[in-house]
Amino acid sequence: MTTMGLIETPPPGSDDVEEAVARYGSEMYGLTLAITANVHDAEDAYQTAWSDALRSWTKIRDVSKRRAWLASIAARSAMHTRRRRATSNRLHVPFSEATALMTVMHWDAELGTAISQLSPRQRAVITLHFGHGFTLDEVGTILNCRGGTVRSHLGRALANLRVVMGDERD
Amino acid sequence: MSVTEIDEERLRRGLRGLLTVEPPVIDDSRSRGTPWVGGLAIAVATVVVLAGVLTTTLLLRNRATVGVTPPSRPTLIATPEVTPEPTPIPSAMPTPFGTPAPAPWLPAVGPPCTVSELEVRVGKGFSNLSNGIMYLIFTDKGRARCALRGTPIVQFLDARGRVLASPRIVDVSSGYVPTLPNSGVGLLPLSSEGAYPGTGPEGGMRGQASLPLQYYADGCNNSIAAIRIRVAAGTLTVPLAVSGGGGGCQTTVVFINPFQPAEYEP
Repeated sequence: MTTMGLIETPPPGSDDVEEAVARYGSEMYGLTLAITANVHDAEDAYQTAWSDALRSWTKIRDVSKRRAWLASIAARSAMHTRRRRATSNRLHVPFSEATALMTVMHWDAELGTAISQLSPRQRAVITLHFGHGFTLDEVGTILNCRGGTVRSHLGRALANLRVVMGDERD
Repeated sequence: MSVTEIDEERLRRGLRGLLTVEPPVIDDSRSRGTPWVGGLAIAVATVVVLAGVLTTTLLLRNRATVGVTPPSRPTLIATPEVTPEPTPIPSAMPTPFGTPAPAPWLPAVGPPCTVSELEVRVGKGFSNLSNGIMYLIFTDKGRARCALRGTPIVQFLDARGRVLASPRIVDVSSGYVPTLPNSGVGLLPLSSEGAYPGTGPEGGMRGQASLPLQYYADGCNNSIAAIRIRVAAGTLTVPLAVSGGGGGCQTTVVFINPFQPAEYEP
């Protein structure tokens, strides 16, 4: 079975919350980190995402779609947190560099810095496509937008990365 | 302003690394939608219970210290004083009295380890119920310290050296056997020959790194001949035979964890 990035049916007995947390927790957290671009908002979005997921846990009957379903919830939660942050940033001092995406991505801080300068939607698209390995159509389904829109976001994201990383080398 | 081609492999590697960052523990009360009043009540109750336990422990400890009629049998409360909880300091590094204890795990000091200075071998492995784990052990054969960070890109090869599509390899921060969250593992220039204290000849030792591969022994595919691991400046290949529950069976998916200190035993 090839459905939404999950090639095989999970083994028997894995169809429970703890297994899902162990299996997809890091991916969900990574996605929230990429979209919010800071640790505090990512943790908040991650908690909210699991809260939302557990509330409707039984609605997803096809276990093979769980990975994409959880990614969708995490992305939505992170976007919401990011929007809320954009409002509250007018009132509060932004977070320190120690919690920024570039610090989290210590293995490639230059890339982390460049990704931080993309829009949340662009970060979501490149993370789901290059990180999770979803196809662009699957990314569209996860982000609830059309494939053409996803391709547009991806194109702009790559163009922006070229410019930003080119600037840093100058 | 120069325009640089984006290396998609770099983007993929960087973002895959991001997806292996250890997530925070899920706040259970929030997940269940517990009202804050309920949460507060639980917190107050916890504090009260802890205070009670602490008071009782202190009272009993004082009685034992001043020598007032010691209990005829060792009690549960007295036991920790007789056999203190072992600290995670490796047994391979005896600490002379009066000198500071070594750090539990080596810090990730130095540049990323390169292929030319690394040696990899298959370490110990075991399976239990339908789960199995195998460790690859990395030794720094160079002259200087180096570090291994994150989760490397791993591929399975068949006997002809072709990359296999199955088993699929999935990056996860932990698994059936828990892993030690870390921001990198420090390696010391070592010889991999000789004794491996504490963990037997097949295990790892302080100064080495291990790479856990976890899998469900639920399928068979015997075509794997080797595993290729990508590290800085190239790849390492090691002959491999993952044993599953069926004796030689390979699984359909393998979960790869971040590098670990080789002496760490969950």
